[in-house]
Amino acid sequence: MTKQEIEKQLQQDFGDHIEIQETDQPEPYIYITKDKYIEFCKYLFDNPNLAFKFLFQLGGSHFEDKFEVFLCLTSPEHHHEIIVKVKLPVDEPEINSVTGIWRVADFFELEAMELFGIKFVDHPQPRHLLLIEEWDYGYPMRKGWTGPDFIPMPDKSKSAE
Amino acid sequence: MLELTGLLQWIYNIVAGISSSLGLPDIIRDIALMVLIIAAILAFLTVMALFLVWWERKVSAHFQDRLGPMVAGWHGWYQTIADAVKLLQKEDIVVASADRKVHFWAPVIIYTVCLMAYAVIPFGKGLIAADLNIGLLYILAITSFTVISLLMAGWGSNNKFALLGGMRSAAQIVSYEVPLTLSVIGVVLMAGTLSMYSLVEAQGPYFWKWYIWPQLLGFAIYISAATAELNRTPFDLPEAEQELVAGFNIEYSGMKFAMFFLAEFLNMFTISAVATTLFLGGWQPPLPGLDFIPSYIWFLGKSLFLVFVIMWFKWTYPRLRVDHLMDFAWKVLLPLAFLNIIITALGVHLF
Amino acid sequence: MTDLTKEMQLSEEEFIVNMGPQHPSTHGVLRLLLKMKGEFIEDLIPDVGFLHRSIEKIAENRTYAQFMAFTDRIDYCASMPCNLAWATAVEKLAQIEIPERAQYLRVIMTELNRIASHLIWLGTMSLDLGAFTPFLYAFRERERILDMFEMTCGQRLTYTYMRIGGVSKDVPAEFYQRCKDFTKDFRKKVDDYEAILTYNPIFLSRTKDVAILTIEDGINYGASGPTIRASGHDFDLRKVHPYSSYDKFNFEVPLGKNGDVWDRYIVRIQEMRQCCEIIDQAVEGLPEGPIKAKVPTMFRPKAGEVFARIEAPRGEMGYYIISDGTTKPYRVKIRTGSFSHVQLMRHLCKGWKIADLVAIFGSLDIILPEVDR
Repeated sequence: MTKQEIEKQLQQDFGDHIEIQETDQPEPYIYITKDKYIEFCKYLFDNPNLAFKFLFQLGGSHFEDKFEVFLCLTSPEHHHEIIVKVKLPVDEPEINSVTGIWRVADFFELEAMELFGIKFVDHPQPRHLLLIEEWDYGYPMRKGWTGPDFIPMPDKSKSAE
Repeated sequence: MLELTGLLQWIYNIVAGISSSLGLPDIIRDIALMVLIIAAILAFLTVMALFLVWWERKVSAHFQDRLGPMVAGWHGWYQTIADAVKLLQKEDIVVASADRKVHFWAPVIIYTVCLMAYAVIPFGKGLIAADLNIGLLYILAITSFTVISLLMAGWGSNNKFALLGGMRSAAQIVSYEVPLTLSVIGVVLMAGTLSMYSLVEAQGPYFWKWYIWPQLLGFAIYISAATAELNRTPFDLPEAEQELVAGFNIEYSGMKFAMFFLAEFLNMFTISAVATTLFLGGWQPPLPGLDFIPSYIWFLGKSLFLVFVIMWFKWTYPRLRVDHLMDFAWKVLLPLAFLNIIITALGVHLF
Repeated sequence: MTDLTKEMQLSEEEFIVNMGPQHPSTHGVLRLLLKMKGEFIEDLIPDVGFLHRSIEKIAENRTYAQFMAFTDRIDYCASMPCNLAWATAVEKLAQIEIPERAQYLRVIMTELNRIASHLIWLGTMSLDLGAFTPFLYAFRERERILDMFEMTCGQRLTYTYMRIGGVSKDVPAEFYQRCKDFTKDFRKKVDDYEAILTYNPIFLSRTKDVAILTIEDGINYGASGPTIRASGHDFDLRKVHPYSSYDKFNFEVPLGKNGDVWDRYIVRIQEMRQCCEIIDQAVEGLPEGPIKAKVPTMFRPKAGEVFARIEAPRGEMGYYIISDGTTKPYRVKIRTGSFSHVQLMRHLCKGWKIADLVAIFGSLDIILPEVDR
C-alpha cells in the first residue's frame, strides 16, 4: 500500500485519535494519542491489509515540552513501513508496553526506560540493560543532562557475586 | 650402526663384571641393571614428551597454513624446553578451599601411571623392560587408572566447573574402555598370546602378514576408542576451552598443569606404541631385507606416524557433543567390536 | 548483578551458571545467566551493556560528516555497511543525488566487507564447535580483503570510507585486477570450507535440527538478515527496497528450509558466493564519473525526520534521525541486527544443552558492539 492509501485507511478507522504529520518522506508518520496506543498497535499488527508484523525499532526522544516514543514498523508481507509516535507529558512520561504484541520490544523499552526515564507500565522484567545496576545519576539521554564530574566506583560490599 | 642388543650385552657384561668383582650377590646386579634400564626409558620418554609437544605445534601450524614456532632454534626445536623451564619456575597456586591431598596427588598419579605402561612395550629387537606374559592385559589395566586421577583433579579443585569437567571425562573414559579392550581381543585370538614381545614376533617378517590387514575393523575401533581415551578432539568435550573453560584442570598452575599436559602427550605415544605392536608389526621392518635399519628406528617411525594420524584428527574435525559421544561408544563401537571378535574367532577356527 | 539472579526462581534441582563477561566463546563481552537443570538450559537472561559507548548521545554533538567516523565503531567487523547506512539515511533526509560511480564503489566495498564479516563468523563458529582449522583459513582469506581495503582507503578495520554524498577516495588502478583474482580464488576456497564442515557427520549432528526458528517467531522477535532467511523467509532489503543501485545487479538470495543452525550456516556460506557475483558485476560495469556529490562543508539539512535501513551482514541496520535544521542532528536512533537477535537467544536456547548454546550463539552471528552501541 502506498503512503496515501495507508493514511486514508487509518484516518477512516481511527479518525480523531490520530494526527498525520506532513513530510516529504515516502513513509507515513502518524501521531496517536496515549490512551488509544495499545489498541492502535494491535490494529496495525492484526489488520491483513496493513500487517505490520515487524517492529524495527522503538525509542524515545526528549523535546522541550514533551517526550515522544516512536515506533518504526515494517511489514514483511506488503513491504511498507510506518512510523508511529506518541506524545508524552514531560513531567510524567508513562506509557503501556507493547511486548505483548511484538516480543522484540522488550529490550527497546528497557533502553528507553533507563536512558530517558520513560516508564513502560506492565513491562515483564524491568531492569537495567545498558547502564550498571547501581546507576543513579539521572537519565543520560535527556537533553541538558550533565554527568557528575566524578563518578565513584560502586560500593564493593553491595556487589556480592 | 650398532644394534642395541650388542650395547645391552656390553652393559650387562660391565655391570656383571663390577658386581662380581665387588663380590655382590646376583640380586644386586639385577637391580642395578633394572635401574639402568628404567633410567634409560625415563630419559627417552622425557625427550619424547618434549618432542611431541613441539611436533604437535608444528603439525597443527602446517595444517592451518602457518609456520608454528620458528624463533627458538632451528624451526623452534627448543621451544618446548623453554616452556618447560618457564613452567617450572611458576608459582604453585592452590585454591584455599581445595582438598590439598587429593589436589596434589592427581597429577602425580596420572604421570606415574603413564610411565608405568612403558614397562612392557617392546622398543626394538630384544628391547623390552619386562616381558610379562600378560603384557597386554597389564597395559589395559594400568591405563584405566587415568579415570581415578581425573576424578581426583575435578574433586580436589573444589570448583563447580572442574567437577563437571572431571565427571564428564571420567564417564567418557570409562565408556570407551570397553570397545578399546574388545578391539584388541581379535589380535590376541590370532596370535594366541598376551605377551607384547610374542605378539610382535607372531606377526611375520613381511608386511602383508601384519595384523592390520585381517584386523582392519579392530584397528579402526582401537584408534577411535583410543582418541576418546586421550580426551582429544573430536572427543575433547571435557577440556573444551571454548565451552566451560578448561574443565578439570582449571585450577592447576605451573608444573602440576604441565604434568597433565605432558601425560596427555605421553599417553598419545603409548597408544600409538601399543597400536604399532599389535597391528603394525612392532619393531619389524616391512621386508626382511630392510633390517639394516635398526629395529628401534622402525618402531619409532611407525609409532610417530600413528601419533601424526591422531594429531590429524584433532585439527580436522569439530567436536562431538556429550550425548553423541556416549551414543558412539555404546551403540556403534561396542557392537562393531563384538562383530570383529566373532568374525576373527570364526576365521581362526576355520583357517 | 544480584538482582538478575533474583529474577530466576530456582527449584531444587536447578542452578545458575554465569557465562561471561569474559569468555572465549561469547563474541565480545556478553554475560549470559543460565538457569540449568542438569545439562539442560531452562532459562537464559542476557546481560548486555558492557560495551555501551553512548554513540547516540555523541551524535547529538557532532556534525553529520563528523559522525561518519563513529558509525564504523558500531560494528567494527562490518564497517562499510555501517557507513553506508548512515550515508543513506542522511542522503534520504536531504534528498541528495549520488553519482553512479560512487554507488558502484559503495556496493563493491559493502560486499567485500560482507565477505570479510562472514569469514569472521565462519572462523569463530567453527572454533566454538571444536574445528580449529577453518578459523585460520578464514583469516587467511580475510587478509586479502583487508589488503584491498588498505590499498583503497589506508585502513584495515574501521574505514570511514564513505562520505555524505559519495565516497572519499577512488580506487587505484591495481584494485580491479586484485578484486577479480580474489573473487576467482575465493569461490574455490568456499568449496574448501564446505568440504571440511558442511556434510561432516559430527558437524551435522551438532547443528541439524538444533534450535529451529519459525518464520512467525522470527519476525515477532525482530530477526532479520540471514537468521530469518534461513527459516525460509524471502526478504532481502537489497532486492525488496533496493538502495545504492543494487537493482542493477543479478544475484540470488539464498534461503534455508528448516531454520535450524545448519540452515543458518549454509545460508551465510552461500551468501559469500553471491557476494562474489555482485562484486564481479560491479567491477565489470564500474562507470566513470565523479565519486562524490557536492555537499556543503557545513551541511545543514532541512528540519524533519527520516527513517532508512540497509541490509548489513548481521541483519538490518537502520537509522531514525530527527533533524532540527542545524548542522548537528537532534536525535539519532541506531537499530542493529544483533540487538534483536540477543533477545532471540532466550527463545531459542530453552531446552537445549550448554554445548548447543555455543552452536546456537555462533549461528546467530551476534556481535556485541552492535548490541550495546
